Amino acid sequence: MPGAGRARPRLIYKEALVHLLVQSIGFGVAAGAVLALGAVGFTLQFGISNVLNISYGSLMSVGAFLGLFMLGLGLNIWLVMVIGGLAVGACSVVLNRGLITPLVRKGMAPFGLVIVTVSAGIVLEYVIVAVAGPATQTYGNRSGATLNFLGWTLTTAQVVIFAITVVLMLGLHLLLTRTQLGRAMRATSANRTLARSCGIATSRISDIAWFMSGTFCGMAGIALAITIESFDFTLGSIFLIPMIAAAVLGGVGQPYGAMIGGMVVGIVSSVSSAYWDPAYQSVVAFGIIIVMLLVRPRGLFGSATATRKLLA
Amino acid sequence: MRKALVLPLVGVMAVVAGCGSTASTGKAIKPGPINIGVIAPFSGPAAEFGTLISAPCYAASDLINQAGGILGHKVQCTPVDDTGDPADAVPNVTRAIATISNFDLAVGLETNTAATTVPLVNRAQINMVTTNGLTNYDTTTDKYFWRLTPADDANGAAMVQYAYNRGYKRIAVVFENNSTDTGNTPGIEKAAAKLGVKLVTNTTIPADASSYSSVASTVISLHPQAIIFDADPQSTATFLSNYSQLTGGKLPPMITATDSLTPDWYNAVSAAVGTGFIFNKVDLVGSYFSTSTQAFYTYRNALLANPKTHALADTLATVGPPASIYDGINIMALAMLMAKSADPTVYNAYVNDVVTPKAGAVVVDTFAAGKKALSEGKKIQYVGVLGPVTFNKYHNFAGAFAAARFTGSTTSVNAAIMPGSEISKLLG
Amino acid sequence: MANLAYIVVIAAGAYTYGILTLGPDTGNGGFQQYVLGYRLPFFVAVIAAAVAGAVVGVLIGVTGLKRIRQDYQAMVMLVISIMAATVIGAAPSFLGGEPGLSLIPNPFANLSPATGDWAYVAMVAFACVVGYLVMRRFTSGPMGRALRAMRDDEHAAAAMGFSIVKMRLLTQAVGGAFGGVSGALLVAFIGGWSPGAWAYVETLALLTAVIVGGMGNDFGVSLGTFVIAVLLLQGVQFLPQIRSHTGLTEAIGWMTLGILTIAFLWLRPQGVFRERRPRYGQPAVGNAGGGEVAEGHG
Repeated sequence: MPGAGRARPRLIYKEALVHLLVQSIGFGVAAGAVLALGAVGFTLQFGISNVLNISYGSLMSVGAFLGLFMLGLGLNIWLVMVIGGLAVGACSVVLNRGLITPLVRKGMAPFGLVIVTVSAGIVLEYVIVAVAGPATQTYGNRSGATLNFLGWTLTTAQVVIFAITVVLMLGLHLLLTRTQLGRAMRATSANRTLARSCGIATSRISDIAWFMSGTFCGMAGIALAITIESFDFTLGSIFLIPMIAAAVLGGVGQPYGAMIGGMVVGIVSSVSSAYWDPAYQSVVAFGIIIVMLLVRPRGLFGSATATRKLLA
Repeated sequence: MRKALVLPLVGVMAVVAGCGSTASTGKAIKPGPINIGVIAPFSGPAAEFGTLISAPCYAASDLINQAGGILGHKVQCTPVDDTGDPADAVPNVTRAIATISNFDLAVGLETNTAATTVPLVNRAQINMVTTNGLTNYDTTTDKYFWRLTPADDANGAAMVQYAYNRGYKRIAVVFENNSTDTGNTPGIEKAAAKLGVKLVTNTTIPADASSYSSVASTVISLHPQAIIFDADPQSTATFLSNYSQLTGGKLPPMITATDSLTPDWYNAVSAAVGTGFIFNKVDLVGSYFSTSTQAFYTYRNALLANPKTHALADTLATVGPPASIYDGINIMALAMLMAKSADPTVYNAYVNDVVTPKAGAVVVDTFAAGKKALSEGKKIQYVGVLGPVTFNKYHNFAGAFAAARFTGSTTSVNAAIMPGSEISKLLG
Repeated sequence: MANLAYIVVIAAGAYTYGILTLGPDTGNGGFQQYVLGYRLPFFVAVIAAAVAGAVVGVLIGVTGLKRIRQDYQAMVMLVISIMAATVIGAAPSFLGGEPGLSLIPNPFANLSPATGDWAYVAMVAFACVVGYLVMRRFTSGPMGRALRAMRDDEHAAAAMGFSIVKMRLLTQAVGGAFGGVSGALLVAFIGGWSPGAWAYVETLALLTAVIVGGMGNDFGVSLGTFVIAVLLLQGVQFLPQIRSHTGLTEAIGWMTLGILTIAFLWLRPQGVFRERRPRYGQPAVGNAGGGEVAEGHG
């Protein structure tokens, strides 16, 4: 068995064991909030433009470094999160207009697009290195007071981020279900050609989706940088795998699925690293991606329409 | 199609290597400076280490050049980027061996890459002063290998000895899964068993995870009196901040290795949990040297004098490996003078002579003093920053250990000294 | 479609060669841990590496049998390669964990450095020629025609009576064996192997080589490898010292790599050398070769 050579004495009493479980669920919820924020942005853009954007992780790092720059100017952290989010939203639109859309128009196969977004992600990461250097950066200690409730131990920052995520998710829900724009987005996501023939300006909808996705991405990047305390340019690409796992678990293109997926991945990773060798922490997310894509590619909450889209 | 891909890659690497070794065969000293290759990471996540390990080379070479150089040649430090990855290091070091003229000494060759770079340098018949901590080199027969720092298992044992001296009987061990840290583990386990220190957990964590709360929670539930911990600055900061969130700001005393004694580490950790913790609770265990000798002042002044190393002078004041490179370069340079040759195949035989005590020998603590004494026809014994050095038959020397404490972002003091013999007993 | 988990096959060959030639892990003061630990002769270990590569290739190939979207497939492959590296890195006693294996013996260690390296060049060149000939037989014979048919139109190929599953797995096994051998040759030369050596960015470098050289053209791929591996990744080291800013040289190398990939996919998807289509019977008419990647449906 891998890792068997290492002595790992664990003497935990029964109540401590339960306490550890409850606590690690709490950590999972906190991590899940950031994951959900990122995964929803990822899935939203995928649902509408049908492009798997691997550079999403690097855009998150861009957000975190923009945040660092703005904090240096003395702005309030939560204001930074909003502005940083919007700025990354703009980057995301530029990426779509300048790179993805022209290539899709040329008829590039989905596989080629994956390679393009992987490459774009690497370029973005090393642009950060060229500008800000490869060193470890920090926002400083922004976690605030530690709060204890329900047997959970969370920081004020984690609770605020959780609240922001909930508000954004509610906002997104209202947007998608109650507004003309939301209906147009859902229509485009379900069937782009049909939506266009119904008079929906699908390319404008696509821009809006990339903008919203980028905004979530940037905000998630800054939220992650706040909670992780210390980060470098690989921040987002390390976080991309659990985010994709969350999106895939919920069904790619399904915002609600991604919200739940984010929570599930967060909690499962956290609990598993409490009881299993923490070195395998990320393996849970890997496993979810592979199993879901091979066994049930439409995800837990994917609809039949989505299934049709996903078949080769 | 894709299948024919990697074979040519191997071919290309072999061609590069092939060209390389033919070029390096002529060992007669050529016009131009004698090059000291600093084999260390200058790119990638460990790039800071390259800067730290180059500094003593600049200090030593500045002083050697001020004293008129070696056999009419100036000395110069040439960075060789080993990228910190054992496989990627190979083409870079091979190319350096092939292309650098008068490549007569290599320094650095740290733990992560030593297993691939040391054999290359030894095969090319170039003397090296390495700071790697791999235990297999404790009994190496590599002719050109020289090491003035302890292996990692000894460092692990020293950490436990220090914890024991402080009265801690229940220790949690948390290491990042990398070469240096896993190298400490056998020593920790042996020393803990001998000293009766209980390891309540002995776990490894992945680098740069977004949260270590669950691991921290597990450690807390085991109530350790102190924690032996080593990881990169980013992971350390995240772990400690997660830990203190769970305990309402309380952190246990932490024992770590002197490789954490860097501004990067200090900045990351102080931003996460404050300077109070660093100043009062963190002890960094590593090899010891006195900071009150004349040799040390010379070393420190040379660091201060060069604009490239000025800012690092304080940081390096209590860190063993860079000091061992400074001493190592001086020893090799004096051996070149004694041999009247910069060819490693010739001067290698004189290395032991430079440091062994002998009747009538002048004790010298700088290259300049040594050069002067040799020119007057006297015998010398070099006693430098590390104090008197005696190499065993495997070309290894390990002195005493000490625990250092940060006193500022770049400054530190030694807190407790542990004799080398005490530590080697724990490993026996 | 390129296999983004191909590096895992190379790694499998490298590790196999390592643990079969290093001897028991108690040697060298027991500073590294790994399973098995035999001291087999060079050629036996290389053959074992080929077998290991083939087995891992087929295992990866099985996941490719499930018919999901190309981009999902690509993602599964990327995730498999990252996951394999993570799992092996986290298990110190299996294949050396994150520090990996080192001091792997070189078959020419007894010769002098210069002779040994040239002997290695000769051996690798020989292996390349043999590999090329085997591959040519494989791709230009009836089997090759069947594979091309399968790649260009799977349904049509199936209708002509080819077993798609069998052919795919056979391709994976052959590709895996080649990867295994190349991994063994690589590791016998460099002497060490660790998860850092086969991170997914290495896959990107290889992929850039394929894209620049031209998919489907062996010569192009070889040239691409030379250009990318030698001129770009090694060449940046020769840039004048812009080390005032740590990491800048490295950043320039990677940015060039990424931009080159995108530029080629966009402007010249067939690569520098396009695929030479074998002519069957009558001469091909007009532009038979290029552009199948990007052009076609507008």
